[in-house]
Formats: sequence, structure tokens, C-alpha cells
Amino acid sequence: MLISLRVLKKYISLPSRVSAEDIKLKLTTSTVEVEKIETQGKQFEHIVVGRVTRIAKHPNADKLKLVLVSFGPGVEQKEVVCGGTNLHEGMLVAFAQVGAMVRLHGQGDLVKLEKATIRGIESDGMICSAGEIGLADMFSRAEGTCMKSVCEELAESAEGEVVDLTNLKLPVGEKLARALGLDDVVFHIDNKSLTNRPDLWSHYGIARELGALYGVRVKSPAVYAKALSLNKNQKLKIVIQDKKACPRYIGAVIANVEVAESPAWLKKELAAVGMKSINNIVDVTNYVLMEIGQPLHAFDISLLRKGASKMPCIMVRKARAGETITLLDEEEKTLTKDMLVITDARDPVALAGIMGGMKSGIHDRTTTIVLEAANFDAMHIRRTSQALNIHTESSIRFEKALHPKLAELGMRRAVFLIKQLLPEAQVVGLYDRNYFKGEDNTIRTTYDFIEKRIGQIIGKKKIDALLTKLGFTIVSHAHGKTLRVRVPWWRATGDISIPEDLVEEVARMYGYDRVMEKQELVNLKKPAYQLAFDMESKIKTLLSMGCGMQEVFNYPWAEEGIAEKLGIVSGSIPHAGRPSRTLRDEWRFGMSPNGRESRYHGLRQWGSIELINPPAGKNRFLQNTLMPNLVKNVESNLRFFGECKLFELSRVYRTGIGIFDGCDVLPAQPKMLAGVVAGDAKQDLFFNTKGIVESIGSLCEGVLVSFAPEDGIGFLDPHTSMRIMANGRDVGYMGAMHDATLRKFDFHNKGVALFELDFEQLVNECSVVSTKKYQQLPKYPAINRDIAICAENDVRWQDMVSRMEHIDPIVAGIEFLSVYDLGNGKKSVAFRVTYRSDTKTLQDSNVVAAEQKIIRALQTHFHVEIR
Amino acid sequence: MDFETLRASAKQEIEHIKNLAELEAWRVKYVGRKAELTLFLRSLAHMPLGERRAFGPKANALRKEFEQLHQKKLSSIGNQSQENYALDMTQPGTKYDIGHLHPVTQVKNELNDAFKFLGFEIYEGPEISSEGYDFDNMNFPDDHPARESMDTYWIKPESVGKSAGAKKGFEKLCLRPHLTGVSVRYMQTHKPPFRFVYPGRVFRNEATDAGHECTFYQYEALIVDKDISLAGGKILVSTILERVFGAQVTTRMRPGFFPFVEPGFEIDMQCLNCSGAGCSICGDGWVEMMPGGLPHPNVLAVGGIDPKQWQGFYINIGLDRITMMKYGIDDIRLLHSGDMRFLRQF
Repeated sequence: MLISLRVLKKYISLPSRVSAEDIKLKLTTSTVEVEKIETQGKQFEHIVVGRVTRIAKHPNADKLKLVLVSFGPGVEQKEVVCGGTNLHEGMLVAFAQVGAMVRLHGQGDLVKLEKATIRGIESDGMICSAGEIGLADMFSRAEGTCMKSVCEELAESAEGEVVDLTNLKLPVGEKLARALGLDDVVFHIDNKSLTNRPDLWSHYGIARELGALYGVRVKSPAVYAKALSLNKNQKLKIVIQDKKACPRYIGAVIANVEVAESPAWLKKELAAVGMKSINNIVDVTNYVLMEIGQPLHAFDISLLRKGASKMPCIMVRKARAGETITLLDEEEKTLTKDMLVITDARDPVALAGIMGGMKSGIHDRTTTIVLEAANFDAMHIRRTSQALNIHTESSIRFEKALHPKLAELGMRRAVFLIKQLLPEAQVVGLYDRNYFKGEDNTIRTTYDFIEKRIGQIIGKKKIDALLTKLGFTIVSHAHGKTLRVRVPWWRATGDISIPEDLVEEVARMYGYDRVMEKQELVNLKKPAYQLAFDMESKIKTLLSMGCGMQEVFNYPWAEEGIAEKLGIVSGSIPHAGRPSRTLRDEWRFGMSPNGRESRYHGLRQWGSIELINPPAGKNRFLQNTLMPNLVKNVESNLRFFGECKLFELSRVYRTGIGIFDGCDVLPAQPKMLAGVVAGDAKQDLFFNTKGIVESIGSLCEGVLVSFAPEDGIGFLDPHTSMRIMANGRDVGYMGAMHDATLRKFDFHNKGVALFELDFEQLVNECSVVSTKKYQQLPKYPAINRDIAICAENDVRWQDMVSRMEHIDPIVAGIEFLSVYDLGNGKKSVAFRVTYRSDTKTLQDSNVVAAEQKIIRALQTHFHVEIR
Repeated sequence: MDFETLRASAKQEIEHIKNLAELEAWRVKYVGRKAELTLFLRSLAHMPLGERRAFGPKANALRKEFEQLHQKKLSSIGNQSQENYALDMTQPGTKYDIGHLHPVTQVKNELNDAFKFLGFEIYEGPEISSEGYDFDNMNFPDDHPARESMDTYWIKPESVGKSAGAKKGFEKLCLRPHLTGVSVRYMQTHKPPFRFVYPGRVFRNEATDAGHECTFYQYEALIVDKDISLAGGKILVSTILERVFGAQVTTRMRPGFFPFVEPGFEIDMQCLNCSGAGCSICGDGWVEMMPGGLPHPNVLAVGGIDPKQWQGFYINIGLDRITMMKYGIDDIRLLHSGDMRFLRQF
């Protein structure tokens, strides 16, 4: 909303020390946010209106002239060099004095004008073109503000011409800004911060607030003061069908109206707040809207159909389904039956509180008008305006809930202004349909309640005074403790209704910044240890600091294109983890994309959740796995890096029931942890990823991570993919990406390995971290012996380990060393066995005996040869 | 075993050794696993006590002597080779992969630490929530514009399966547009007094640009106690901001309107970029940092808390905003870019 300081000053006189900046700060810190102050004509400083008194040829240039400019009696004339093609004697021009900010030749940045010598002649100032003083620029930038109407015309000048002010008959010597009426200061107020303050949607309302903030008296608007009923010869029939939606309707019939151009002052003040002048009647309605905040509408009475009573008729009712109206903006709208309309005896003539109809509005030959000042229910207006997507100055005010009393003030003010502009005009009918029952708007509270919430002693007298300034009436005190406060009518539309609302009024009037910081935070209660959050931070630190991975954040939706490349179609997304404790139903085993039925719960299918209004068509589905977005991240990073490691910990969404606090029933939204590793050798990537998963496991107290075969996920290479088990429970998958899938992406010939696990399930398996207990260092030395074997390729390390690790009590550890391919389906595996006893120093023979057991076992079960 | 002969030959041989390979052969011969001396030492265990006492120390001393000889020779050969091969110490050291936590995570961790220190519990709620929790419970009027699809992402009811959204009055599901709804879930399941934080991401149906995101991060805190007031909340705000920015920052508190608080306020922080002079980041020297307020009695009541007995204090920190201010990030979309060129900077 735009607020003109000039209009404000009609209602309050602030002390001269109060600058526009002060007002901005005061309003922002106490009431509403002022986004900026626009000082009109600021850039016209040092530019004045001059009259060309003589034009002579420049001795050294054909196209330049020497121009003598006068500034009225008693002011020295100045001679300047000018090339304007439209110069003539007696012309009024915009003259930039030395020091003015101009854009030379209408280009580049603004520069400070200095004395210049042009072709040997000194030029003391400049006659400006529209471009040079930024008129055109200002016009385009200042759409909807004061500058528009004034600058529009002036900006339209031909190449090489200077601004011609002759027709505007401006006073010679006057500052250009003032001469053009561009000397107002306009406050831009953030509409959002006014949401709860319908009383502030006008100049009078802001003036009233400033009056309270500065302790200055506010003048009342000059109004038509006679009774609001004039019913001798009824001229208009008003019928309100829906009294809840329209608690008050005041209609005035004004005759002898001459529709004409508005006077300059009215145009200027409307322009300052971004309103276009139309004609005197419409301008008055708009002026009252922005001055008082009451939307008004004027009909031509001759365009209203007569009803049975042979009188022009105004009716307020719900629209009939399918009924149409052509609005002032010439758009035809089809209405539904919950929309409120103003009709004549037959058809809608206005969309109540939003916009008038085209057919019934006033025009040049209108002589008798019906002026409407009504009150409509906020919810009706908001719904209709949202449904039709029409937002007008009128609807945004009604939406906030206006008080029925405001309609009266608006009507009185509008009639006053019409009579001021058109002394011949005559109010011949005035009807007030008022169904509003003045409710008792008093609030009972205690001083203690207010002070306790603010946290500071303010004092009873002070509280009374602060509230009184805002228009509240202290109705009664009891025992100096409780008080009853009457809410001023303009705040009694829902804004102020409970004691807490009074707390805010007192706090902001007292000043939020004056409230002292108070130490109430001391809390000797020990914060509880929270395993899940501790694990989250530890695992994130491990992955970043320990494993060299980059944490990324992605959007919650999966891009369908990427998902498709991974073979994931919406509704059948392979998922990490078994259905967790957070799932009660609706999970089922599925088929893998290649048709094999999955073992080990390989592919589970949960439905994806879809948005009604997604950000884009390809993002309709919320992600069911973190993988598509991570893979997309890899693809874009491989454009810049030879390798990358990324992880994300986020929620995914799927059908089924999520267990959360609260009484609503929500879909499952488990937190997943996923990572990708991209680089050169596939085998390295796989073991790199496996190492990451194992490290995560080692951080989780009480969790034993193991792996099981996985062949259900289509985008993984079946030979290098596994399920991740935590304490035997399936929590996710890991593996290298299938070559066929790799080829669908632009990975610059790199391989990709990845993992995804259900973080919540993993944490469920963790036991609460207990303080570690020191264990005695081994008393007796250990002996390491390396063994190298030659085995068939399908002999698995884990199987050999299970055979070896419990074969003899002195086997204290088995460490994998290396593997290499021997060809012919055979491989060489080397490992180190550590032998140790807790009771004695081992003899050579003990070690040899244990080693022999190992070798025999490997030979028997795996047919290996010792190398 | 003749210790003296062994010593003499070892000493003589090591004199002539010129390179590491020869030295290694020498080591294997005299102190290796199958060296004469090693085998002797191993066999000591089986000898009678008298012999062990007689030869043990001698053999051990000799072994130590050999090891010293080896060490000495090793370092002298090592020194020689250094003369031949000049080490370029300006070459980089071994490169270790060090990853980075997302900047928002880093700031969140700092906030978590600060709040935990003040006795706050950490809490989380669902990202898909219901209109009941995010609007009705929050005291939003029935026809509040934020409920419109222009602002909130709504979930297609057919897509959630049979059960979700089944609770009467909580049928309409959405991606939560703010965090505050989560606080009621906590209030309904805990007994006051309490203090907790609930960080998380929220979603608004908004066009994105350098300053706007459709997915962003908030960090909210609520204290409910018998006498936590505006004045007490103010010190919480300055304590937290000081912790995050490492220095005292200038703030101002001004009125702000949100349906779920009364009174409500906005806290602005003096722009760190221009120290309040006004710049392209802040405009007029102040950056909106966090809204907050005292919980509206309707919100406390729906949380099962008697608003006559208890009062509270909310603050909602724009986690992205504070992160951007801290690191000077000028485009919010970078936070979701997954771009390592960006992420590796923090």
C-alpha cells in the first residue's frame, strides 16, 4: 500500500523534527513494516523552470545555438549552449543548474553537471531533454506511482528535442519537482504486515496510528453531517437478502451530477498513491477508499432496472449458478451460487465488494447516481475473489474485515467531497440498511497478566495511558488489579478480541526494544541423550571427514526422467530396507524388473505419493528413494571432477503408515541414508562403498553389519550387489551400477557404486552408547603368520573366514591381504593370521598346529592349494 | 655356538656393504627368522635353566649389537642415497579426501549445540503433514490464503493408499508449509514445562529465484513454562545469534503478525555485509532473521496445555537465510544444486 505524506498531513501535524525516515522507523518498529520511502522528484534537484528569452547562432557550430534563459524577476539570466531542435523564444524549459544530476545525451549513469565550454563558448547549465533528466526512464520504472501520469506526456519527445513545458504554464523560476507536483513523500507499506490490521488500510487509519505513536491529536475528516435517512419521496428500493453476508448497506441517490474531469489537487493526490484519474465521481470513490479505507461504488440510476414497485432497485443476494456479469474491466465472469452480487431488479450489476459491472457504471452523461457504501462479510469476499482470481483495492480491504461503522464514515466523506466538487449536486435519497448488532467489545484482563507476558513491570498508569492513546477505553478497574477495556470500533473486527491481543498493544506501544533482556533461561535439568540425533551427527561426520564424501541436499520429488533411466517407474520403486517399525501395512514382495522373483526381499514395491500441484509435470511424484537425485548430482559433477563421492540423509515418502506424534494418519516417511561413489575402477568403487557401509556399522553400537545376496534391483550389477543387514535385519542395498544403466547417463566413462539404507531401522538396532570399559592389553605376545592359497574363483572369502575363525582358541584375528587372478578360473588369496593366547607365550609348535588345522580345513572344504 | 666368530664375520661383512639389497641380505643372514642366532635364541626355551642363564643374556646382547650395526649402516646408506636423489620438499604431501558437511547442516549443528547447552531437546515431525495440524491447529482461519494451492503443495488423496488421511478432520494432506505444526505434536505428547527445538525442511509452492526456494530449511524452538516472557525470549535470541555468528550482532524486534502467536514479532539483524549502512543484500541495513511470538492461547489449548497456567515463547529461524548471511551466499538455489564446486567451499 502506498501512503502519501501530503495526505497524512491533512490529519496530523507531526513535530517538525520528525522526518520521513523517523516515520518509517516508528511504523516499522511499532506497527507495520515500511519497505521504502519514495521521495518524489529527488532527482530533479537543481532543475528549475526557465523561459527562453533569446536565441542566437553559435559562432563556431552550425547545429548549436546560444540561448538566454530567464528565471523571473530579480534572478540573473543565464546563457547556455544548446542543440535542441524545438527551441523557440518564450518557451518554458527544464533548466539544469550546475550541480544537477543529469544523464548526458540521455545515456549512461547520472553525472553531476559542471560548467563546460562548448566550441569556445562557456555554458552555465543545460536545457534538458526528457532523456537527460530521466523522465522516460522514471516513467517506465515508476509504473503505478505518482510519476506516471505527469511524466508520460513529457517523455514523448522526438530525437534532438528538449522538454517543452510551455503548455503546462508552470511558474518561471520554480523548482521543477514542485512545479510538476512531484514533491510528495510516499511510504511503501508491506501489505503482508497489514494482514491483521484492516483499520490501517487507509491514510486516515495510518494517521490515527501515528497520532497514538507520537501522542498527537488526529483531525477528523470533514463530512456530510446530516442524518443518514432521507426518505420523503423514495427514489430507490434496497433489498438485502443475505444479511449475514451484507450487514450494512448505505445507498445515496445524488442528482444534478455533472461528470467531468477532476480538479488538479485530486488528480495529484490520487497519482501519488498510484491511482489513475477517471472522472470526478469515480475519483471521489477512489479517493475515499484510500483516504478512509471504505470501498465505494457509484451506479448510474438510469441504468438500474425497475422492479415491481416501479422504482430503481438494488438487491444484495447470492448469485444463481451460471449467472454471468461483465465487469468494469470488460471481462465476462460466470458466477457460482456462493458468490455475493449486487443486482438491479433482474441482473447482477456488481460483484459485491470486488468490482462493479460494466453496464451500470457512470458515464459522461450521467446525471443521477446511486452511491453505495456497504459492508460485506470478509470470508465471502475472499472466497469469491480467490475463485475468480480478481483482486482489487476494494476486495483486499473487505477481505481483512472492515467495520460496518466505516461504511457510514465513507458515505459521509464521499457525499461531502461530491458536494464540494459539484455544489449543484443534491442528495435526494439516503437509505441505511443496518443489520449490524453492535456487540459489546470489552475485554477483561489483569495488569499482572499483561506484565507477566511481557516480562517487565510497566505500571498500571502507564498501561492505561498506552491503551488510551490507541483509542481503547478503560471501562473499569477492580481493586487495582483487573481492568475492563473497551476496544475502539475500528479495531473490533477480530483483530483485538482476547487479553493476549492487549499484551501486544501494550508491548509495541511501550516499545519492543525497550523490553529488557531477562535471564529466565537457567535450566538445571540435564538434557536427555538422544541416540537418533547423536547417530545422525556422528555418521554425517564419518561420511564427510572420514570417507571424504560431500553432503548434498536435494528436492523431495524424484525427476521422472532420471527414475526411468534407473528402471524405476512410479509406484514400483525398489526400496532399501524391510518395512520398518514405522510401517504397518501395504508392503508386498514384488518382481524385479528382469522378471526374476527376488530373493531376500530384493525388490519391494510401495506406491509413490503424488502431488496435486507439483512444481513441474516431471516432478509429480515425491521420491521413494534418494537414488535418482543423487545419480543426477553425480552426472552433473562429473562434468567438472574426475571422481565424486556424495551422500544424503533425507526422508522419502511412500504408501503405508508412518508413526508420528499426533492424531492424524500419515503416509510412511522414513529417513534414508544414501551415498554414491563415482570414479574409475569398478571393483575399487564397490569395495570403497562396502568399506563406507562397514564403517557406518562400526559406529553403531550393538550393530553387526553383514551382507546377503541381492539380485532384485535392476540398476545394480547382479554380480556386484548385496543387501545390507544390520543384526540380521535387512536395512538396505549396495552395489555397483549395472553397465546397461551406466550407459544411459553421461558419466564420462566412469563407474558408479552406491548404497541406500533405512536410517531409522539402523538406529533402531543401535543400543544406547554406553561408556566404554577399558580392556587389559594382551599380556602375552602375538605371532603373525601369512598364508597364501590358490583357490577356485567361486570360493568366497567370508565362507573361508567362518571356517577359520573358531578353529582354534589361539586364532585371534584373520586379516585379508590381497587377491589376484591366476587365470584358468583360479585366484590367489593372501591373508594374515594372528595367534595369541591369554594365558601363556605361544610356542612355535602351538602356532604350527593351529596353522595346520586352518590349512586342512581350507583344503577339505574349499579344495585350495597352499602356495 | 661361537658368539665371537659370528660377531667377527658379521662385522667384517657389514663393512663392505654398499647398498640396501646387500644390507637386507646381511640382515636376513644374521638376525632374520632363520638366522643362526635367531634359531639359537628360540631353542633356549627348551634348554635347562643353567644353560639358559649362561647363554641367554650373551645371545640377546649379540642380537642387539647386530640390530644396532644394521641400523647404523642403514642410516649411512640412507644418507648416501639422499645425496644422489635430491628430495623436492615443495611437492605436495599425500592427499587425503576430506568431505564437507552441507553448510546448512553445519549451521544446524551449531544451533543444536547452542540449544542443547540451554537444555533444549531435539524433536522432529513428519514432512507430509495434514491440514489439521498445519492450518487448523495453528489458528489459521478456514479461508486463509496460505491454504490455497498457490502456497501449499497438496497431496493427491488417491496416491497415499487406503489408510493415510483416514482420520476424520485430518483428511487433507500436504507437504508442510512451515514447522510450527510440529510443535503441537510435541505439546500433545509431553507435559510442560519443556523446551525443545525442531529443525527441518518446509515446502512452499513458489517460483524459485536467487532469493526464493520451494524447499527450504527452518529451525524452530519453543519454550513452555510458567513465566517465560518476551523479555526472557529476547535473551534467548541474542544468545543464539551470538553463538552462530561468533560475535555480538545487533538486532531489533518489531511487531509481526502470524495467526499462531499473540503477540507476534519479527527479529531483524543488522546486515553483516554492510554493517547496517544498506546494501544489495539487505536493502535498508536490516535482514529479517526470525519471526516469533508467544503461542496463541488457541494453539496451547489444542496442544492440551492450559493457557491460563502456562505461557511460552516461539522463535523460528530461517536456517537458509542465516546460513546465507553467515557465508555470504547470494543465491539460495545453490543450496539444492548438489554442485561440489559450491559444497567444497565450506
